[in-house]
Amino acid sequence: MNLLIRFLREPQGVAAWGAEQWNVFLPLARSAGLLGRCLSLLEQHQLLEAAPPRLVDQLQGALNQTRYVQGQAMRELRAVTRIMAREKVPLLALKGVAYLAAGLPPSGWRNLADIDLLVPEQDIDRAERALLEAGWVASAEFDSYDQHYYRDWMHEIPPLVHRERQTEVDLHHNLAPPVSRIRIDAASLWEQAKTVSDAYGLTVQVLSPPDILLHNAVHLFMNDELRGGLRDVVDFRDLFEHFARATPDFEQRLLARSRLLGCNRPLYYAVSTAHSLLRLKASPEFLAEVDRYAPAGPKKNLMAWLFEQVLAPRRLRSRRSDLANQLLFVRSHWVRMPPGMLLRHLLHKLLKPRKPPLPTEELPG
Amino acid sequence: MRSSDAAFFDTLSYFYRDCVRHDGPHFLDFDIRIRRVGGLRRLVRPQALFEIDGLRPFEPQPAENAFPSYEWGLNWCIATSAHRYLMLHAGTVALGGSGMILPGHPGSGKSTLSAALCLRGARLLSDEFGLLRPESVDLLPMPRGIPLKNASIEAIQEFDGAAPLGPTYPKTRKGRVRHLRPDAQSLRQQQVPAVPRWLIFPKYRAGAAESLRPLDETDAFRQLAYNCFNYKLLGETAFRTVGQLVRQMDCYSFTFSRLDRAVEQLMALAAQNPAAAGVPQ
Amino acid sequence: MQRVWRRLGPALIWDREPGHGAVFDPATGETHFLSELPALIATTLDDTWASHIELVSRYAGTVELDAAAEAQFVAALTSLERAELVESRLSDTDQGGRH
Repeated sequence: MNLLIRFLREPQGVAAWGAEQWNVFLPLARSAGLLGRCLSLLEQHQLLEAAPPRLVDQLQGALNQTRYVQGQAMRELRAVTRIMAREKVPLLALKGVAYLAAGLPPSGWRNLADIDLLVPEQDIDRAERALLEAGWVASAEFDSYDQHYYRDWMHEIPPLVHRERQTEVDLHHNLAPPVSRIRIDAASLWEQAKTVSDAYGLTVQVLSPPDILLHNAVHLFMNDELRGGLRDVVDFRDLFEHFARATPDFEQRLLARSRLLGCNRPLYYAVSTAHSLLRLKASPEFLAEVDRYAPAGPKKNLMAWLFEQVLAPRRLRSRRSDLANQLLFVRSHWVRMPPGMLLRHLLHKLLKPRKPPLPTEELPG
Repeated sequence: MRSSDAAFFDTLSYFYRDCVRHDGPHFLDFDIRIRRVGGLRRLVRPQALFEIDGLRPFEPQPAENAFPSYEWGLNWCIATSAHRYLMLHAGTVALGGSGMILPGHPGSGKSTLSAALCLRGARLLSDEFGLLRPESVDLLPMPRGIPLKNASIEAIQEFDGAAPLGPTYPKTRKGRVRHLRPDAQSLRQQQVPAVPRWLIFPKYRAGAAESLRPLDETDAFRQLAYNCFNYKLLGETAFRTVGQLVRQMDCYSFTFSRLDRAVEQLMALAAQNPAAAGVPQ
Repeated sequence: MQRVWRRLGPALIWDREPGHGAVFDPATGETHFLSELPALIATTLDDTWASHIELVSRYAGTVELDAAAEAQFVAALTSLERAELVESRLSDTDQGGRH
């Protein structure tokens, strides 16, 4: 159990920390992308005085950066919303930008690199054309393999970015790709969606609360890379507890929805991970019910161990977590793609040139 | 900051021996390690690696360039994480309790001017980062070795033959580099902020006569915002702080070619202001 | 069919008095330095749709605009749109219609 996890489970514990603990904590929090979340927890529990002032400065600096990317994400959302309203294409915000649009708890600290949006399958080509006409362009050079990967396997069009701005736009028409074992009925998502509006006159749809959690679970445990994972587990815990406080029968609704959409396995992983790592507050009945969706036999414990190695490493870049990361990487692809496709995909990724490290010409000074 | 490289430590001591050294537990802003690359590399063209939190954001550098790499690496740490502050791309010095801000891109002469002003008694805040607290609009010191590149080295030696310069690094990515050691007073006063008073945009132009030209507020705003690393990132806070700065400071553009005349003119400007008590003549 | 304009979003923050110098748009995080005509329009446009003719009469009463002045006015609106400070659409109501 590393210091970051300890802090997230029980913030009050830091009152007893000295410089040595803070020095171990800071790189872990930085690497997990949780600096803003940690600042918010310190404030919430009146623990700012317990932390070294220069550490609070770094947390504040990270939060300032987050506020900026959040503002840019909402700016991009508004711009896309205008186009889709004109084209009469229904639009639904997902993940980070949805938390912002709906004012959910993670909007207090959640960083995001791009915006994820859902449109109906029959409208996605029209939506893409409208954006391209209005000044959006492909965000990178996508060869025909990439195009095939995104469109046919991932339920997405390759990411777009506006010529004059930096925020990437990812348009999807479902939450899980058609070739994976999980088939989500998109129509059902739209049926339960809610409309939200902001102070600047923007209206957009977001998933219903149970679907927000299921999407988080499906995304986190079916992902290409688990590196950003702990942050998503924290989101799951914060959102679950927020919805459970607001609606008395929320746990039942979540279970019913998960059964209907076929998301029981990812829900099990999300709940069990959030519970074991972060002390998710849920009723024993709910936990027992979800436990029934665990994989059979020794696999259950193996998966729990792998996730903990990757999401809560004792030290950054320990050998164990790198190995676990590799195993999980392969496994998550297997869930999404048939084996033949998986092999081709992994080879293609290996052959693509990787981003070089920063050259010193670009350093200030 | 940890390193097993003895040569690197000797250089570090030359520059920073006047700073406090912490041997007991103390909060670390950054956990930096400079290591020699292992294996056969140790024998043939040895390299130094800069690690932060165990990660390596940069290409390895030749081992003899460990010190400049450390300084530039530290700049990167600051530039990517100090968004608690408004970060100006500027040399900043203090004359009396008042701050002089010299913004500029590489080649404008800001580092050389900052170095020269300090050799004439100004207190060094920073040669690269003007760090401002938005809530109090004051400059925070971060005095470190000033990297002088190529011709600036000779210019400073001509300006002051006794200038304490560190070793020469002939083959860095930015050319030939020597660092000016920060003076003891600047290091001792690194907790003392300065109130910004003069905003000078320097422009080195070979053969030009020294000339200070007042800037109108809108021009000053535009140029200062342009020279602020995190202007966009800090949004409304940056907008309001820059606005307040250009109103609070006397703003000039400054062309110069001769370092001695340039320093004379800037010191004279500072002396004009009755509030700048303690400005060295 | 004619083009109508409106401003949707939070109040702009001016560095000094409205219409001069730097202005900050909280919706986009951008800082602008607007020249006189765009600055005037940005401070007075509201969230009701209006054609450029209606806007001119809002500011200057019943005034005849020559072609050059009219073009300048539309150019100012267009540059504000590029800066994401106003939005426009083609209206299918007659001139004088709202929303």
